[in-house]
Amino acid sequence: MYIVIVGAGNLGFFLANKLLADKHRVCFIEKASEAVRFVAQNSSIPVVLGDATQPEILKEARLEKADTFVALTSEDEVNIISCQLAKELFKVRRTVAKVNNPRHLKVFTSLGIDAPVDSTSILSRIVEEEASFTDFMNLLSIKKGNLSIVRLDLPENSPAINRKIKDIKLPPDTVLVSILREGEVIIPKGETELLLGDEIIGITSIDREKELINSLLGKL
Amino acid sequence: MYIIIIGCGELGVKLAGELSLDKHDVVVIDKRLSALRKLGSNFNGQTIRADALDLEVLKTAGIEKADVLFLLTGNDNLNLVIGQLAKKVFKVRKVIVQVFSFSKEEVFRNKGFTIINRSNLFLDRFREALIN
Repeated sequence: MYIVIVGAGNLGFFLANKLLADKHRVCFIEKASEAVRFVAQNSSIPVVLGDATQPEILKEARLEKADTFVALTSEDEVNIISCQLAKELFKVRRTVAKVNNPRHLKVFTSLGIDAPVDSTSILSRIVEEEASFTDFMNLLSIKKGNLSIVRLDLPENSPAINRKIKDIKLPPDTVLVSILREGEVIIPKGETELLLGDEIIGITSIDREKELINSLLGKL
Repeated sequence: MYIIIIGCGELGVKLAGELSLDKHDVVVIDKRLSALRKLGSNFNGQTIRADALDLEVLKTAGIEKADVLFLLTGNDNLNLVIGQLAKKVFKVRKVIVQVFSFSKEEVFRNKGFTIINRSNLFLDRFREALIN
């Protein structure tokens, strides 16, 4: 694929190198000449120097050939407008944008950005989970499907310990996918008994997370 | 009329003052307190110091009942983004967006708001001045 990235800062440079390793073609648009120089000195990635909200700059990056457009600048309005131009003028199929201020997220979705990435919220959620002592971790939420993939580590006081899965009352729309026990992966069946220290991966709907925690970890 | 002005630069100050003198309900939003202070004591409308690129802030400003929204920040991209929100999300009847860029004026011409290209206005005046 051909991917155009706006913003050749740390994040952009890291992403571009990852994409290159996966055999994609990449081009930067960057308005700070210092960053342009850094890219030129440290890689062979082409860079267009300029403002990505100017159609002529987007044209220079051959946007009409791009499959995906990624806007990573620190200004949300620049990310939104450049994604819109990419879609409207150059028919780029997929636009991805960094959301700098979580309060702006709704603006991105209202104005048709395909994949707004709210890095601040993602990061703070991870930090929050890492900092807390709960035995529950949300691994991935798929909002469109109202689906969550979660990990639960069975603690000593868990009501599920030494019980068979078929005897545990799980919330509706919930599946236990796998159990990690002493380095081995066990595919859970009705007859499988849960043990202290089991790490359980499950899929549940987002609004059932609490019930799942209650049935496997006990009341919080 | 209920009028919201976003961007309290020289133009915003002047416009807000005139409209409030004409007995309109005027709300001015700007990030900078120093800018809002320039409205002076004669201005009897409402001021909100906030980032206007925020649906909640726009709601607080009463965008749902606004008759007119002026976007006068010096940032074309910001004006165009909020202008689209006003039309698309809040269905504001009249949205007037200031831009400086010719190419952006062209791209966003048919979004349902009125674009006033300041560069174009200057250009016309310069032409006139040259002839006279």
